[in-house]
Formats: sequence, C-alpha cells, structure tokens
Amino acid sequence: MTLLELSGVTRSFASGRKARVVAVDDANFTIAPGESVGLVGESGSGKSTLSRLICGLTPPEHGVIRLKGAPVTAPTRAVQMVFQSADEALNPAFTIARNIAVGLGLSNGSATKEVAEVAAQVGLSPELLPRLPHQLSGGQQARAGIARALIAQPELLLLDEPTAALDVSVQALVLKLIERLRQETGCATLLVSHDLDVVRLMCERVLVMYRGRIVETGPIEQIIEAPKHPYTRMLVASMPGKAREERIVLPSTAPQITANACHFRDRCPLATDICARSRPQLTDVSAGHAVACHHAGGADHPVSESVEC
Amino acid sequence: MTPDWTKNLVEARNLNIRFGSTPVVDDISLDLPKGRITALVGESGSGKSLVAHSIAGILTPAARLEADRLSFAGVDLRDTKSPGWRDLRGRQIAIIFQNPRAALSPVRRVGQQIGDVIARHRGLKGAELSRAVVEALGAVGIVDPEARQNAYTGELSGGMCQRVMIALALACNPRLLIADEPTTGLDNTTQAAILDLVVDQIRARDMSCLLITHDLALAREYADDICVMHAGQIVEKADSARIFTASQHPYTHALLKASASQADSIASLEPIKGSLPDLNGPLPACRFANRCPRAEERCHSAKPPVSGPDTARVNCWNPLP
Ligand SMILES: Nc1ncnc2c1ncn2[C@@H]1O[C@H](COP(=O)(O)OP(=O)(O)OP(=O)(O)O)[C@@H](O)[C@H]1O
Ligand SMILES: Nc1ncnc2c1ncn2[C@@H]1O[C@H](COP(=O)(O)OP(=O)(O)OP(=O)(O)O)[C@@H](O)[C@H]1O
Ligand SMILES: [Mg+2]
Ligand SMILES: [Mg+2]
Repeated sequence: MTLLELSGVTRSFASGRKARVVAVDDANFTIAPGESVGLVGESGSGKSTLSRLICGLTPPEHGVIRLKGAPVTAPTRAVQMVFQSADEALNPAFTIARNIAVGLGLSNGSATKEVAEVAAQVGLSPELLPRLPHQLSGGQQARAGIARALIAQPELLLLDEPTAALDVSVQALVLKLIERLRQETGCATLLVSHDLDVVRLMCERVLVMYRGRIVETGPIEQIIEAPKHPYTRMLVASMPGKAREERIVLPSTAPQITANACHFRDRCPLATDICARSRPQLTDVSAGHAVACHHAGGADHPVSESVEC
Repeated sequence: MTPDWTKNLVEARNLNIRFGSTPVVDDISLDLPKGRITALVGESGSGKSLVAHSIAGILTPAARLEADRLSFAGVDLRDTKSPGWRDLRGRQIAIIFQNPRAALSPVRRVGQQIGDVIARHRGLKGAELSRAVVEALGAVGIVDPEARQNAYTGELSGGMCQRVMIALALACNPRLLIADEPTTGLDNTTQAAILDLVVDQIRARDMSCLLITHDLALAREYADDICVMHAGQIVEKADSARIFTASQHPYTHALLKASASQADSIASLEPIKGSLPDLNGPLPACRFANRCPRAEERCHSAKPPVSGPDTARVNCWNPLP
C-alpha cells in the first residue's frame, strides 16, 4: 500500500526577466505508511519546494500528487510540515499555545486540552505555553514547531531541516524526540537535511536531489556504502572522515541546464557525449535502489580514476 | 617589544572575561603553537567567540578582560598602545566569520577590496597589484578570477563569498588565522570544499589556525589539537585523535555521545543532561558539576586541578580512566 505517490511532478519559478528555474523537475516516487524517508541535496536543489508541493502549499505545474489515491490540491490535515526556520513556523505575535493551535486551523485558544497534551508529548513544559516565541530557546522553539504539526495527527510529517540551526546537544534531543513520536504515532516522515549523518540515523530510505531532479534513491546503508550516482558519491565523500579525492567540485560557472541533457554533466568526472544529448532516467540497479546516470549502470567506476571533463 | 617568532604564537594565562558582574570566561589558559591547527569546540554559548575576539583584539568594549598573560609572539596583546600592537593585529592575525556578507562591503568590487589590503600590507601598485589580486582569488579556488574580481558580493553565492573572505583574510599573509564557524549555514558539500581549501592554505604557508566549531567530526578531520570548552571554562585539550579514542573529561565524553556523526544508531545518541548553567547565578567551581555523572563534593567547592602532559591535558577532579 502507498501513502503518498508523486507522478511527473514539476514546478518552476520565474528567475530574472526571462529565465525560469525548474525547482522540481519530473519527480516520481512513493512513500509507504509509517516509512521514514530522507531527502538530501545541496542548497538550492529543490528540497523545500518539493516539501511544499507535497504539503499542498504550492501547486504543481505538471504531474499529480496523490495521498491514499486522492489528488492533493490544497493543504490537508493528514500532511503536516515542520518548517526550516522557526520564524517561518511560529507567528511572533502569538503565544506558543496559540501557535500550536494553528495546527488545527484554530487560533482562538479553544483547543486548550489538545494543546496541553501535545505540548507534554514533545516535552514543552506548561509554563512556556503563554510565552511568545522569542522568549524561548532554539530547542524549545523547535519543539513548538513540531507540536504545531503534530496536533493535527498527520499521517505524513514533513521535516525541513528540523535541526540545522541547533547546537549538538539540542539536535540530539530533537532527533530523539522525532524518532519517539514516529514510533508512538506510526506516521510516515520525510526528513529534509543536508547532513547525511542525521539521515543515516533517522531514515530507512533516502532520495538524493540535484538541481530539481531525483538522481538516486535507495536504502540508506546502500547509499552510504555504495553510492552509484557520481553526485551521490561526492555527497558521501564530503562527510567528515571520508576520502578527500572524491569530494565535490564546486560549480565554476552558471549551470547550463537543458531539457535533454544530464543536469550534473558540467561537474561530473564521468561525463561523455551522451550526457549532453540525453537525459538519464531513474533506473533500478537493485531492489529498491535506482539511479539516473548514463554511466552508473553496471560498471563500478571509481570517480577518482575517471577522466577530467 | 619586538615579536619573537620562536615562541608559541599565542599564549593566554588565566584569561577572564566579564560582562558587568557576570563571569563569562573563567580563568582559561591556552597556547596556540606555531604551524598547528587548534580547534575550539563546545556548545553554543560556551565562550568560543569571546576567546577568539580577545585574541584578535576585537572584543566588544562592554566586556572586561583580565589576564595574567595574553601575548602574540611574545608581544603583549593587552597593551593596545604599544608600538608593535597595530602592526601585529592588522597584519599577522586575520579572522574569518560565519557570515561573509557582513564582513565584505556590498558596494565595492571584490577585487578592489582585496587590492586595498594588499596595497596596504605589501605596498604593491599598478600592474603588480592587479596581478596579486588575481592570484589571491585564484588561490582560494575562484575560477576565472580575472572576470570575478569585478563582481559585487550580491552577485556571488554564499560559498563564493566565503572564498572571497578567505582570500581577503589571507591577502596580508598573516601568521594566525582565526576561523569562527566559517562554514555554518553552508551545505555539507560546500563546507567540505571550503575547509579543505582553508587547511591547504594554512599548511602551505605554515600558518597557525584557531578553528572554532561545534561539530566534533569537523574538528577531528581538520585540527591537530582539540580544546573543549564548557560554560566559559576549558575542560580538556588533547591531540585530535586522542579526544575521540581516550577522552578524559566527562563533558567531552558527553559531547561525543551527543554527536550524530559519532552515533551508530538513533538509540545510541545521547543528549547531554541538563543545560549550560546560568552564568548570573551561583556557579559550582567546575561549571559542569551539576550535569556531570561523575561529580563529587569537591567539584562544587574547589577549582578542578589540571593534569596530564600537553598532548592530553584535562581539568577535572575525577577524570575518566
Ligand atoms: N518562491 C520562489 N520564487 C522564485 N524562486 C524560487 C522560489 N522558491 C524556490 N525558488 C528557487 O527554486 C530553487 C530551489 O529552491 P529550494 O528552496 O526548494 O531549495 P532547497 O533545496 O530547499 O535549498 P536549501 O538547502 O538552501 O534550503 C532555487 O533555485 C530557488 O532560488
Ligand atoms: N555583549 C554581550 N553582553 C553580555 N553577554 C554576552 C555578550 N556577548 C556574549 N555574551 C555571553 O557570553 C557567553 C559566551 O558567548 P560566545 O558568543 O563567546 O559563545 P560561543 O561559544 O561563541 O557560542 P556560539 O556557538 O553560539 O557562537 C554567552 O553566554 C553570551 O550570552
Ligand atoms: Mg530548503
Ligand atoms: Mg560563537
């Protein structure tokens, strides 16, 4: 059974006078009930846009998003998002209690019982509820953001970099909280992060995004142990402690994105003619592991041995 | 006093920083040896930036600094009127911050900003100066520096701005680079690329570096020594590998247990008990005492002793075996 299904989902934005940036380009994937999925990729790759699409906050230009078979066209209670920054998540003029109640579509303070319950569940002590967001620490604000999403009893929880702004110890608290809530409520999670260590601890499966395209997906152990796409390899190599030789080449020029070509070819050590002529599609390499690369098929080329492009 | 380059680059002894009556940095002693990268790690609010700022001479006037010794190549850094001070500060110590856009001017081309520094410190002019600017930008991995020198910061990505700030910091060939969370907020791929570059430059120029971060995995990868701070106190300093394999202070141990990069599974991740103490309230002698599983009576009443050699120094009454 699938909880969420995306087929051909595309969304672009105007950028400058004439150009458009395709923030999410032809996304196709599913999430099962209760599954924990990670979404990784560098800044600007489209992770937040994809989350907003799934949440119904941004409509797709092409393609369909289905939740238990029914198309998603507007925000629903079953899908809730925890936003990237606390300023986005919490209204600075509302008390914490009122901010949490917003998750139920209420903001008049009538849901005191539910608010108190969910606050206890995320470990926010009652004396914090009448306060304003700026009177809370970063970790407490993160808890409030999670409570606001959780109060709606979602079946899918989208977490956009929930711990990026937090210190090591608070990050550990919040990650453990998310894991506990996932087990208690059985809701599926899509966790956006550019920290592969966080994804390694929190997710069963991972989606790797590059300039709007999903370039690889698979079980987290396989992605970290044996990444197939050259971009994923660079991503894995940039984890501290990994071999420097395989690390990312920073883009030196403006990206050249053409519809019928691989988006990664200008940074790719494996790129050949075909990469400029045809766009690679996600293809299974083993059960549940798929990759979109002309050169990742069978042969296990080490990136460092390949020719410079 | 003239600089003596045979000495430790920085020597701090019993350094204290207060805001009003709040003792924020408590009696720390720290040496930065020549040619080594020293990481300063600890939770947010532990005083890392204040220590960096006091070495760089940019501590806010609201803070009161007292120390038995705070010197750079033997020159007293507290005496801001001494003749050697200005040259040392401007030329030998460079600092890079978390937010490059705040450190760079938005209205001058990046090449001009670097040119200003090179002209001032190396006295270059005309074609020689232009060549040096292009070289400085190329050295930090900016492709096509000829063209990029004409850009304004607004036209560059965050990672690119970070590189320009590094080029600016290195332009005067300082002996010490202080990097205060230079890559926080950048994604991990850009972070690795930038730190690789900074460290290559430091090694190539035989500079010293104080690298501030709260990410232990980064400290391990890039630093020779790691110095751990908690609530304004230094609790442990050891060479990087030893911090991970044989940490002696319970706080270092707790910090490792709380780091995602060190955990095998979410179940084995352990947040540190409690939070940093309120520095305005009454404080135990060891400021970790109230969070520490190994705390004893005396941890509350008496300053912990310093033990061990330079390569594995710990400030604790009851260190881990
Ligand atoms: N509302 C918008 N209007 C115009 N462009 C947008 C808008 N939202 C996103 N974009 C563009 O779409 C692309 C993807 O952005 P998105 O925020 O989804 O990336 P991200 O992967 O979440 O990045 P980060 O890791 O920095 O949060 C970027 O080029 C961004 O500039
Ligand atoms: N201008 C100031 N006035 C009063 N207190 C201050 C001031 N600047 C810093 N502090 C306090 O000094 C302590 C140490 O601050 P510092 O900025 O050095 O921490 P840090 O370790 O760099 O933290 P972070 O990792 O968040 O950058 C904090 O408790 C902070 O609140
Ligand atoms: Mg985002
Ligand atoms: Mg700081």
